[in-house]
Amino acid sequence: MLSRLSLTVALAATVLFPAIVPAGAAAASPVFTIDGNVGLQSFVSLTDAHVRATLDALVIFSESPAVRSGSWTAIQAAFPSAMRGNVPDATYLYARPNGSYWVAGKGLQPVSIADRAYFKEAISGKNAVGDVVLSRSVGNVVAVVAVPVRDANGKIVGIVGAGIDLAKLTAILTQEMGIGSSAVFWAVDANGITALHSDPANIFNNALKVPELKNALQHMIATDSGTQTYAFKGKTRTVLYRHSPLTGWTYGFGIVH
Amino acid sequence: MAFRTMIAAACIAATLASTAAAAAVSPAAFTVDARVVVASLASIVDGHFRTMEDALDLVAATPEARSGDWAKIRPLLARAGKLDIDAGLAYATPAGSFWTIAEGRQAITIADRPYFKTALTGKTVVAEMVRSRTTGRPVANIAVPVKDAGGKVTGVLLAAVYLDALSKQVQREMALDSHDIFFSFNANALVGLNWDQKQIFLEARTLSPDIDRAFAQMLAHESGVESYTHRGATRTVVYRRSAYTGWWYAFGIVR
Repeated sequence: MLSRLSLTVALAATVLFPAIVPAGAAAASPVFTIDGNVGLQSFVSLTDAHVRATLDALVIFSESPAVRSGSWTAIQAAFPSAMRGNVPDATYLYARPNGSYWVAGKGLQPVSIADRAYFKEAISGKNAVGDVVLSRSVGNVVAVVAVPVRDANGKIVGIVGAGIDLAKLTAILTQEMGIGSSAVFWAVDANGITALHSDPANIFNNALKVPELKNALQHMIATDSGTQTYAFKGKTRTVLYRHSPLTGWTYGFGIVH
Repeated sequence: MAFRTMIAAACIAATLASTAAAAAVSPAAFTVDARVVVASLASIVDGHFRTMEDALDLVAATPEARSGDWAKIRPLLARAGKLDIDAGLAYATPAGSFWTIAEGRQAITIADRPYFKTALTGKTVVAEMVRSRTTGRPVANIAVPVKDAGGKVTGVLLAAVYLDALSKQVQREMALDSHDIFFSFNANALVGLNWDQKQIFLEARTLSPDIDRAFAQMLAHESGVESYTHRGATRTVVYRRSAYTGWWYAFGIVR
């Protein structure tokens, strides 16, 4: 137990165990602290739970007669009551096999999503989770979850998807974990595109194109989990990181020294 | 607050000692304030309940659910049963007779259950703790009314979330060690989740006068720090209440 728990006071914590403290509690002494890995695991679990909840809801939704009908009128009528809990304000869409698509609240879109990786994956019969894109219909940066829609004979007749606003998800996670400015957290996809970041200005940046991050990030993306120390914006950061099989993202959670 | 100061004074040495021990085993790169951990605990558990509530909402809005025909309801409800939450799913008529995914039509009724009565008034119920009449296991129920086009309640969808399974799931999701203390309790101090699953459904305030005092303090506050003695050891927990479930969540240590 001693290897894990650090009964501490502010001075000891600062010198011996840099600690992540809650928002608005910078001056308050932690009653006790615990291994940062619990913070990382909580961050990964909370994020994945939001994404998984969206995926689960879409799968249930895709199997409903309204969606299987292929009628936008019927689908649109079901959307508002269908999706509200874990990820508020997500953008929901329905697309036909040719890539034409409708967005809840906005109707038929003048462009196609046939070229999107998530569309190709879902229309081939697989669930697509975690593509980070700039939404063509709304203009915000979203993580897409998309699932195939099958008719009664099992034939794929379209897809339904959700675009999770990543700036809003970042804000939700910050609030849910109750963390203050002492923490840094982020998630990047396999190409280094930043999906989540404790500083939302970094969302959608390609972190692999930042020279001071490149080597450290390449290592983190290539390995399943570990600890990494690196410099960014003139400050040293130590993060614990791990890969999520659900989103395919690498998650980092740590401190700025 | 006095206790906190005492801990602070007493534990510098303990910190130094633990540092030496930790360095020999597996040093933490950094640590996380227990208040962050308890906030995460509450959010993770609430998220699981929310996910299940959303799934039931989705099913409740379908013509199949509104039909009141179990044969039509079952396939959609079964899909909700595949969520990453161990729960028993059921549909009940307004009279209280019900069907479960696992065992079909039940011979007993739930007409007398408070969660069922509340759902019949059109309100969703979240995290009401009961011992399941079909499985005998302690569960936290989610009850979502099914309404027709006119808003009349035509049935109730139910998810009985198994508290022992959810406790283990949270332990795994947060990478908590088997000796990391966490628990939840409702407004009656009935224990829901617990790191030691044998303590689920314990009426905490009956255990000792000191525990009764500590739980009275926690029930009177939205969040804070409390210490008490249990099984001969002092426990210090940070806690916070969730407005969503109405539960208090606590995370702590044994010294």
